[in-house]
Amino acid sequence: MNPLRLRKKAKHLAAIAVFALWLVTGCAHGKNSAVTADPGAGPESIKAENNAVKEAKHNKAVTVPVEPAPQAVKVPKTTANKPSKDLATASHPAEGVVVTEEDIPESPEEIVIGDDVDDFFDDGDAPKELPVTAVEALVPDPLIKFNRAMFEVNDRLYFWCLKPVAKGYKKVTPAFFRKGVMNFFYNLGTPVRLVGSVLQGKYKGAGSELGRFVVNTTVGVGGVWDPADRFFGLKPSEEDFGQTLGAYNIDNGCYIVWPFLGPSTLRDTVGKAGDVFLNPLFYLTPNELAWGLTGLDVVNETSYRIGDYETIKSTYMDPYVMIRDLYITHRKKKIAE
Amino acid sequence: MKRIIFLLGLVICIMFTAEPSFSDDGAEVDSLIKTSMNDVLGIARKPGMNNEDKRTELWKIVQKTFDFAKITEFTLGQFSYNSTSVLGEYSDRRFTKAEQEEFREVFTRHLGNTYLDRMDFKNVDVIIDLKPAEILEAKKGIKRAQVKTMINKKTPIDYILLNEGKDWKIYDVKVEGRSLVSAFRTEYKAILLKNKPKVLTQMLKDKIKEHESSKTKKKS
Repeated sequence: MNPLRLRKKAKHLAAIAVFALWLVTGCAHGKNSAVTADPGAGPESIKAENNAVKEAKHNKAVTVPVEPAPQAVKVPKTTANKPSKDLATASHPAEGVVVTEEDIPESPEEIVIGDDVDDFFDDGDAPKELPVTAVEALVPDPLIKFNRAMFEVNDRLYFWCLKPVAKGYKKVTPAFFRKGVMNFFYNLGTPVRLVGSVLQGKYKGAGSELGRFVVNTTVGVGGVWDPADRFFGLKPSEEDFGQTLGAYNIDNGCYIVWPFLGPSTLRDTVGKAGDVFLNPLFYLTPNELAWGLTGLDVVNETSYRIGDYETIKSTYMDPYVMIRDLYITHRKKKIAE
Repeated sequence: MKRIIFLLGLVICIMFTAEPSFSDDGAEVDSLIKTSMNDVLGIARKPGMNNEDKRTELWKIVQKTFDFAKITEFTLGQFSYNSTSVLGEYSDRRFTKAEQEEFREVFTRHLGNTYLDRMDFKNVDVIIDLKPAEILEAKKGIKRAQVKTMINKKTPIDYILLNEGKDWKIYDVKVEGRSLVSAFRTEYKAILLKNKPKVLTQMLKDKIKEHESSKTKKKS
């Protein structure tokens, strides 16, 4: 590859890394902070929270966590702080209830704890008071306003561009072709998974990846077929640099929604940048060809997932929160595997 | 000798009390899940049947297999009308029996819309790896069981069932370890902290309206 082009690409990635670093300094302090994860939280919120702690001593209906400090403490609803009562009444006209965006909480942090969601039977075992307080957030989301805006951008991009293209592509291409394309790009991603496996000490997975690459690239004609799995039982080990960082106990940082790329976290963004260097497409020239192939990969991948996003959108009241939760739990599971 | 007779008696007692109930329940649950899955796949693959009829037939199976009253109760949790938790100043957020009944109807319809209308009847070639039923610890005298499945060797889907005396019914589904009831419960709880039950029901009604109108648009 032309060294000048390589340098140019490296510069772009360096810029991303600097931006990521800025985000670290900008939002990492929210990790253990009691209030920064709430975008609207300022000194008043802190004061209100202190009042809540004081009141908690007198009011049994309110419990405030002692430790560890939750990532996003919303002010518990107390008698001194109950504006939502009015909201509740206001949003209750006799007929035709108008539900505004404000009716949906911005994040699930402000939920009730005191019962284990995995054990539904425990609720109501004995009369108990409802503890109203914050719950530890799955991930700090201090950039929620930016993220929600990007979520909207991606939503439009999906419905206006990606979905129609993927639908058309699905119509004109036979299933075996799409499967072949998927296998081809998956095979190209071997270096990412191989390095990820080695760095995490998963040598069996690394061996399997290496074996898969050799077999699928040769017998599988450049990775279009997957004889490694079919005939040799070599399973892929789905690792990436973001997971490797997670395995080294590096926390998520904050949640970020990137335009085009979708949900991520600070850690996974850094990981993604590392993955780019390991992807052979990065070194492909001319650039137009690399972009074209990347586009094909995205459209092909989407053709398998048409309807998934729509289901989440039609099922849940706030798809942004649901996708954020799904992303974080999915990544957590991947790291734990 | 007396001790041996006593021990023998004890062993027989244990055999007659614990063993049969375990295997019977397990077999019952296995049979329910297996039959339901076969029925669903049979309808989905039926040639010459239009999608609307398939949906109607599938809905009948779903209603027979799922316990929507319990799903509703668990989704609402402490806000459910029969919960004994003290809600304090949130007491106006507890559903009345009538409100919960209305919510159950709307929520059931919402679930049906979400999952049945998403079924791709053109692509029903799925490989289902069905594991034997596991009997879970009974809670409040209600028997519970779990059936783990693996769809297309990729996606784990677990069904959690209960038996309140008559039949086994599904009350939760876990997709890749994530409970659907828990997901709804978290979201609705957050809404109920800011709004009264009627608002949540209305929000669901709006979702259903949205769904119906998008379905009509697709048809036209």
